Amino acid sequence: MAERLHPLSGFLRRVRAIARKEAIHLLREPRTVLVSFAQPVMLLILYGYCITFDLHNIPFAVWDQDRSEAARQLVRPLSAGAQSHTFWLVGYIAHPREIEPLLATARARFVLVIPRGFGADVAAGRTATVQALFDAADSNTAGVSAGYLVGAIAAHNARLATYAVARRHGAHVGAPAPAPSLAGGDTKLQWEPIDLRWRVFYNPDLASRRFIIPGLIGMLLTILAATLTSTTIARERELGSLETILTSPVGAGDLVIGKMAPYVLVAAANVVMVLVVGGLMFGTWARGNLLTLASLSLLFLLGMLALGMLISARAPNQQQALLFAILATMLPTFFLTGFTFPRSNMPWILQAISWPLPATQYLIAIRGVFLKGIGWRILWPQGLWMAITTLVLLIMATRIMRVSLARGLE
Amino acid sequence: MNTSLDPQSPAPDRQPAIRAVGLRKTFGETVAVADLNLAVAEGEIFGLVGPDGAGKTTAIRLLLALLAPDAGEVRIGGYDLRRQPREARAIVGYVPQQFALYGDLSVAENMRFVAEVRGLEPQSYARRAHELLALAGLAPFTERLARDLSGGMRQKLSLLSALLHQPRILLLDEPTTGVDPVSRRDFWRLLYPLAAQGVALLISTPYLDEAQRCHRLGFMVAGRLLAVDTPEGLLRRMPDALIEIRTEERIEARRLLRQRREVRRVEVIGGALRVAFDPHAPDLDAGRALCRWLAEQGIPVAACEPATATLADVFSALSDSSGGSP
Repeated sequence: MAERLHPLSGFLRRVRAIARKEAIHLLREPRTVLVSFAQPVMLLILYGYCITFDLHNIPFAVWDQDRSEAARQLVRPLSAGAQSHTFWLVGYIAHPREIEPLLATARARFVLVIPRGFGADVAAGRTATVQALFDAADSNTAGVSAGYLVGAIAAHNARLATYAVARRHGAHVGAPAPAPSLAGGDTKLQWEPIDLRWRVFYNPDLASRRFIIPGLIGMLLTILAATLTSTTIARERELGSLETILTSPVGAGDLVIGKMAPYVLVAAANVVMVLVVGGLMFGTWARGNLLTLASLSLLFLLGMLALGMLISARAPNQQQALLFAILATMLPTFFLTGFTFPRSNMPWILQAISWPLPATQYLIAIRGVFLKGIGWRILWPQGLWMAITTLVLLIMATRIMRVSLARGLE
Repeated sequence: MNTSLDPQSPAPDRQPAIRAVGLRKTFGETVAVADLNLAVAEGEIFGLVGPDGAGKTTAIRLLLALLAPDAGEVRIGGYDLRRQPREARAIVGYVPQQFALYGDLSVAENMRFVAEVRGLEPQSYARRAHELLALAGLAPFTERLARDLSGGMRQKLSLLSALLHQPRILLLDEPTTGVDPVSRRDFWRLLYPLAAQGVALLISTPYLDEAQRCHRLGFMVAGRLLAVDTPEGLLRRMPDALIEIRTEERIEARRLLRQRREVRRVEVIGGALRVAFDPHAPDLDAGRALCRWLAEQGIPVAACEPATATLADVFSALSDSSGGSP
């Protein structure tokens, strides 16, 4: 050979050649890239508009057997005031026979049953019981409604408890209905000794889509890596071009890095698109530093692309590669990383399994940046862990690729 | 890199450029290549000829370490292929049977890719590519996507890509299969000058007219090299005598001829029967005797001429004599 190359310049030249070739593939067959952009837009619409985890105007009915002032006080805040946009009182019923039709026709999501003697129990300081009957055909809605109701009742309890404390110290003893006065105080308060207001941090309007967008970016990066890089070696094998690669001086490292390179740009463009489209559609913009967001995303992205290459090096054909990539990334991301189900609700064993997943750490990091506006100073453990996993995945991908190349066409 | 690898400089020793000893490869029960011994010298065009499934492709892949042999060893330009596959491949150009470049890349893009992964400097690559494209008549098509090229042009592109790094050894696996005769001739015109420059060429082909163009031939059947010789040498090895018989009743004549002990093969070729028979038959003119005998059986014989053996006849004879007794 006439050429005398510095080993590094040969490496860079090969990587550049492979990266350029892959980029040309992508440009000549833009379907792959377009699909990669359509997917997140669909997910955005789906999660942003269709699957909302928030509920408004939950219709409910009340069967008030007690007809006491205490009972009315329980219902009033549900149908008026701060909670009025959450619940919607469709009416009172007088007979248990009416419950079933109401729930069956979904005119009410739940029926609140206030038993006889409720007012007396409250007045006497005993624990009063109310019952709520839910339509749980849609268990998710039922669960969320129940959660809201429990919250509302807890708020009411807090009012009653505060009132009880006040009364114990207080001068005026009587029914809870009239405005009580505080002990020794000359200030007379209006009804409600404490004004309980919910203060929600980070997601002020409790909009789940605010929470969803950073999650979606995490989900997206994982799926992209899975679908884009996992088939690349199997495709060369099926097209026959692997023979060219195998008989050239291209090594495993050249192939892994060169093939990943164009997809870094595709995935990065996708992240930017989700941020912009999500922002325009829902008015939710990242709070934190965009450079922090970009650097954390890049660390994670490289790891996921390496995972795709690793799968690619082993997969016998494109279909199996794709299937395996989806199984290996999408399912754990969806179920284990906290994208859909909060990790805090998981059994400890699942929490332990899911912690080291790079997607789990990325989700924590990107939610931190997006919702709380925190940076590397707080998120460095996540960044460090992603850097470690990315490095490990890159090394594994290269090793498996080396074994695969050494096998040749066997 | 070692300067002795420069294709222009004379070989440091007179070792063959390609040397395979006792190569063997099985796929499950099938023996694809059995005990292959092969040596190709610099400047030689060696043809590997044989029917489909003879093991030609497997043999070539073994010479490139694309497959690992069950036994045997290969030396490529002095390198032990098993221990130094990278060094060995660096001096080899390879044109696979199936198009192995990228259909969605243009001619120029494909060549640039191959040149860059081979580590060629951009200036020397550009000059070399320009020369090669002009030589092969592909210069007007550099911007055309490879998938839009005709079969012949696509194979030329494969060849040019394999020549970019100025290999000392060129392996071609049925490069002209499925290519029209004119393009095949053009393709061969590119190969002769390479041999003249000292490149060792090993080419497999199912076409016997192409085999005729090689310096030496290896005839491969069922994984075995049955004979290795120059085309002329192989023709001299013809063990049978031949006659060509013209008759209207070819099917009946063939049935009858096959009953004769001295007849080894009867093939219907065009309007004639090509009959190979034992030249040591007791009759002094066994050929004419066969024709007379056919006429006695009531077959009208229009012509009865002795025929000269072609490579096809030799290979049929060699295949027959090897059949059943490997």
